[in-house]
Amino acid sequence: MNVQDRRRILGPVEAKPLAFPSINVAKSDDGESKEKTSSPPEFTDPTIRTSVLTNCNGSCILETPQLSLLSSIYGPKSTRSNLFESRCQINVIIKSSIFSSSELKELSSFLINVLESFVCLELYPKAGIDVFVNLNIEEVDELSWYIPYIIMSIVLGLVDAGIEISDLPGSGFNDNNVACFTKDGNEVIGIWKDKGETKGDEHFLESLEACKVQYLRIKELMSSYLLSQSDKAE
Amino acid sequence: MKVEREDTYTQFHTPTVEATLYLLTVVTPPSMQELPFKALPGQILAPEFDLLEAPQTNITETKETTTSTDPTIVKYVCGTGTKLIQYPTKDAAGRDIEINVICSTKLGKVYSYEVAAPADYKSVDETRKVQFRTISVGSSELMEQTGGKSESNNNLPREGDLVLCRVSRISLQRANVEILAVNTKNVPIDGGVGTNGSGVSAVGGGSGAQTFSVSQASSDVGETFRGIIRSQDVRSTDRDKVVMIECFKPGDIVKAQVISLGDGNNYYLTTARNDLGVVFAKANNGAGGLMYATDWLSMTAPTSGVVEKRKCAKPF
Repeated sequence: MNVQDRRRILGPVEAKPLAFPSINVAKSDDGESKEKTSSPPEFTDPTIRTSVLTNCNGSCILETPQLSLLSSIYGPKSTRSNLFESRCQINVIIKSSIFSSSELKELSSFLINVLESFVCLELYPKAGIDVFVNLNIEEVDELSWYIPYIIMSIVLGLVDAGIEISDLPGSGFNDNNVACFTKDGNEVIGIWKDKGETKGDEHFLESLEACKVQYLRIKELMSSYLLSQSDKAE
Repeated sequence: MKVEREDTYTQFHTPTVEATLYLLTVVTPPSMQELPFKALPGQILAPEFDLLEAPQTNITETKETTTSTDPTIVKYVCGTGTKLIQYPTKDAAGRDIEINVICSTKLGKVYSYEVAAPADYKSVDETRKVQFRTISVGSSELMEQTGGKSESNNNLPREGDLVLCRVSRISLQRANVEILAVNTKNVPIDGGVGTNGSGVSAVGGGSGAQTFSVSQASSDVGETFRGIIRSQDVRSTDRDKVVMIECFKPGDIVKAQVISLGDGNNYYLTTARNDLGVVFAKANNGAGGLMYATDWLSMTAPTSGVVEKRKCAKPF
């Protein structure tokens, strides 16, 4: 803080700038932190709830013992841009307390690419869809581990919002690789790899097959949840 | 499934001509492929072309003996909540081909109803009868009541749609408006229950011939779509002598039609029809009471008797 700033109405000349003492965060030495650095836990079936927020178009909460994640979808709504866009513009904002904003921004642009491949954008010209993802409880250090759950909650949120999508995609996480599938595993719409070494084509293809198994499980969970929801609504 | 629908319908409604017509259009005739009752996004609903089983009892009754044995071709048209995609499969000889199929893009019930042939359709074989059916998917109550013929939530304004909007700003050349509600059905000019006697009743009951889908975007925080009514689009007579302050005032609720998607900022709207114009307005720039239209050029507030000039819409 510059007390000599001539553009501002200043305080008395003798004023000293505020100085905060630096805080040293004591690292917890108990065994819990060691567990977090080991391999991320296996995929468990999450509990799902949709239509939890009233002021957004669609929302979904996913919970597992290590995770609670809320996604909310706003749109299609006006974008206020000067240019005429014949397709919808998707924006993804992720909020987390343990990951840095640059990592989250990279994940946002990855998710925007994935979303643009299956949302029917031509049906919503001049409009924008905002997707907000809140990682409320996050006990796993590895950002890539969250991606299958994030994509699952976004897809369920989009269906809840009534936004037209051409398929129910999903993804799987295996050995630091995340692959997003659609059309029953016949098409890959996104691949994410953050850490770990590149091991060669055969290893990658095995990893891809493991991701596909997880994708099929996720798609089964989503389909049964959506059908049970629409049965309940009658 | 068809029997269940008839039972529940006749339980609560007394059969009328309209009800019977509704049943006849909603009940699906037998085809080679039955449509699913409910659909998930990405679920295949039907191929684009299908065959109807030729009814066996008709052969002795029809006069054209040669064409009655050929089954009718059904061409499915995409309605709301569906999309035409290429589906890779193998043909009879085992070669890889792609066929057009209709797949669902929403979660909801599947509706199918017969429509007239589209204007640009050219028939390949004149001897075959072709029936056109629209497939749509949706879960809203409005779709259930109309048998799938109306769109549900989240409809954006398109060319030709009627919208309800609120005037936010007036200038000499244009009026800026915020779009509050959209109606996507093409309503005839008289705006009444329908010249052919059939009409859609409003979701909440009553005889509203038009159903508006209220925008979920909040106008308080400026999330709504904006539009412009140019002075030359206010009325169809004396278009260049329009005085905007005598047609609209800020705060008025106006019924208009979309003529163009415009640029990124604004839709372009028109009120140049008898049934378009100011629907609700308050006297004295919002300070007075609600006014009613007395003729297409003026409105009166019954509480105070003040008369103000507006370009009014013909009441429903």
